[in-house]
Amino acid sequence: MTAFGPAAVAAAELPLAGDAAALAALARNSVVAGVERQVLHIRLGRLASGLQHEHHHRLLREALAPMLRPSRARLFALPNGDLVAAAPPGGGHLETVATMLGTLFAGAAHRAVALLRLPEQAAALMVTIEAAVAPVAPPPLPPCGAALTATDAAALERAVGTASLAAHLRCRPVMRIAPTCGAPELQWTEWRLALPTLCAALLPGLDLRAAPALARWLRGLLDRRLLAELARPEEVRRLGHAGLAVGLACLATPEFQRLDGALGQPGRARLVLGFAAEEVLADPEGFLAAREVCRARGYRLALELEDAATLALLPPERLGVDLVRLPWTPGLEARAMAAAVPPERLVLAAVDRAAGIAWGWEAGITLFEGPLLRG
Amino acid sequence: MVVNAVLAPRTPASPWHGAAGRLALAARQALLGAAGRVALRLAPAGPHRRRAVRLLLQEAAQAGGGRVLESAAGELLLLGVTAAEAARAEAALSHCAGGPVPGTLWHLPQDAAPLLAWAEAAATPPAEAGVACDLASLDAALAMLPLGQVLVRREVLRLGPGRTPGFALRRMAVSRTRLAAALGPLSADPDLLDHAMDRIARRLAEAPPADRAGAAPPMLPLPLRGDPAEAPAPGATGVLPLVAAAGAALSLPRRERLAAAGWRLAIGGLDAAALHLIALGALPGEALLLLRWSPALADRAAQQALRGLDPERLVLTGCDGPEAFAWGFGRGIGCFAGPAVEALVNAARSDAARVAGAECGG
Repeated sequence: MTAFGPAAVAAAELPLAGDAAALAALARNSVVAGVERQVLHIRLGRLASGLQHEHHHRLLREALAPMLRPSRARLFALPNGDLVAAAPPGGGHLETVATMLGTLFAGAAHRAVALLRLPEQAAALMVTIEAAVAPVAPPPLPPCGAALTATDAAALERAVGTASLAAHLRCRPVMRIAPTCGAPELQWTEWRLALPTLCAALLPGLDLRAAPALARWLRGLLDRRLLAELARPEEVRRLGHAGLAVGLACLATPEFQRLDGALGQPGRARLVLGFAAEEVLADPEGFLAAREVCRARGYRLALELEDAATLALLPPERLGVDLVRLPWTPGLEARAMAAAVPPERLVLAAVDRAAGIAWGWEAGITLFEGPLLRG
Repeated sequence: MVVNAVLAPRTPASPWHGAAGRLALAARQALLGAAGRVALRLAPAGPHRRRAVRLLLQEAAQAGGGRVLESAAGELLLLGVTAAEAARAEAALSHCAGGPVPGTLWHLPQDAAPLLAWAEAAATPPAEAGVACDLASLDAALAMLPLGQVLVRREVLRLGPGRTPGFALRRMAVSRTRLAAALGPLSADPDLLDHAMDRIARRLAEAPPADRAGAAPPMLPLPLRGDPAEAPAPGATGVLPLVAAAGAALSLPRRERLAAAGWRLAIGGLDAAALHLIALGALPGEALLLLRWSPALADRAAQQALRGLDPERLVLTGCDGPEAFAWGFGRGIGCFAGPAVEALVNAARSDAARVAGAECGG
């Protein structure tokens, strides 16, 4: 098992209660310990309203109990009315129940009943649980403080020179999670220095967005710092398949050239260089030059988006990028996305809830990254 | 996990400085083994172009065993590669720049004398007329900078075959060259120069300069953030750089606020390179688009990008001659600006003055 295995179903922060929490724990333990379980999900919440009365649910539970007893199954009632039964594999009890329920619900059977296998489909089960326990939106960020000025940038430059940046280094796995089969697979690791938290720590209360070009400049400063560290021989050996979000400015720096030389051809082919949409728009000619050079050297390229609207402005096939990295938000439009970029080239980032994975699956996406998938 | 071991404190690397001091020496050294090789010198360019050029030259140097040197004036020299490698680099440069990039090719050793003469001269930094400021005092320097030093007034003419020329807009633009000259070495960084442009745009938006009465509606740069004051005149157009399209600067609420303050929106920074990358249809439909002329606009990619776009939305800027006008007329574009337009305006004015003078004298 890799260090990333159980991370896919990390759900410690989910607002679970009672049975839902117990079921999440079961899913997690199944992944951690590799215990196989068969799971039957009965989506009562999706049944026609005529079948939604309390007595229907009670009758169903009573009918299920004797059928589940010989299989040592546990029954969980989720807050949205759905029922989930989990049992050790073999014996065919849950299949029997599923068939019986299928007959009962007739036309709606395919929507009402689902059989899942653990640990392979633990992520799908987590999606189910989360959807059942009404997600709680994170509180909006407090309004930002003073606008970033060149004086602040100079102070940050000095502070960055001597500060340890380890606390602000984000290193996140990008996982392939398919809806139907297999456990989450680590594809590569994204490395980046979190500029907002770093600035908040060094000079609190600054609004970076007030001076976008200065923020780009600061980012260039941090790029060089990160590249210099990654170019050390022991780090290069450990880097493996990785993604780096960098600015256009970094490519001509000695720090990048050192890393480039240390990586060699095979190492470069394992690295994805991500450029923000803002960098492309601020310097289209510079991006074309960067693309030319990155391709010649064998790097893969990614476009880093902050929102889906920019995707229409910078069509990935025109940019010639291999991947598009897009942060997930609950309001994202799946269909528009699928039209703009083939789903296999999309990485859904900032996935902090299982609902993001469910959303991604709907759009055909299988590459995910975010706090939910911790390394 | 490497997380905690990776980033121990260290001194930041010094910013990339040109190798001006080492130029003549390096040129002499390179000449020793450079028989059959070439040197390619690129003319000075703005910081964005220079960054792209440096990157492509470094790539060529790495591939062809040469080196890249930079003069104090911002010229870049690719030294000691084969003629084929230099030709590849030139092709890549013109592809990215959307047109030929002016350069000089020296064959070695026969062109050693002009190369060395250039290297000796180029190593001396030019007399710096800029404000001597460091990053910490950049914003203060920008707040004090006399606007007249960096602003240029340009006419936007309505032109077309068989129609009487007319003034469409009177553009007040911040000259990147003049701003860079005013700020000195700091402005060699493209991001810092962009920041400076935005600060000047903010000053203009807070207090739009008055223009003479009766002139065409003004066109002014707009800052990326904040709400500008009321438009200074009916029909005033505010120009945002292309980078605004990525974020809040062109969000619907902000566009509504700009419109409520009387601004018509324009988006600048479009050129052949940008047309290779962006879908114009995704830019706000009400915005005027400033397209910078270069012969590369005749490329298929550029033509394709412009297909379906209402030519009334386009202003062709940087027009330097009849080729630009012909291309614009062919696309149905009606508004033009640039040196060739200024020349037209000046010629018309001196004609008018001569006529007036003749009338007074007669």
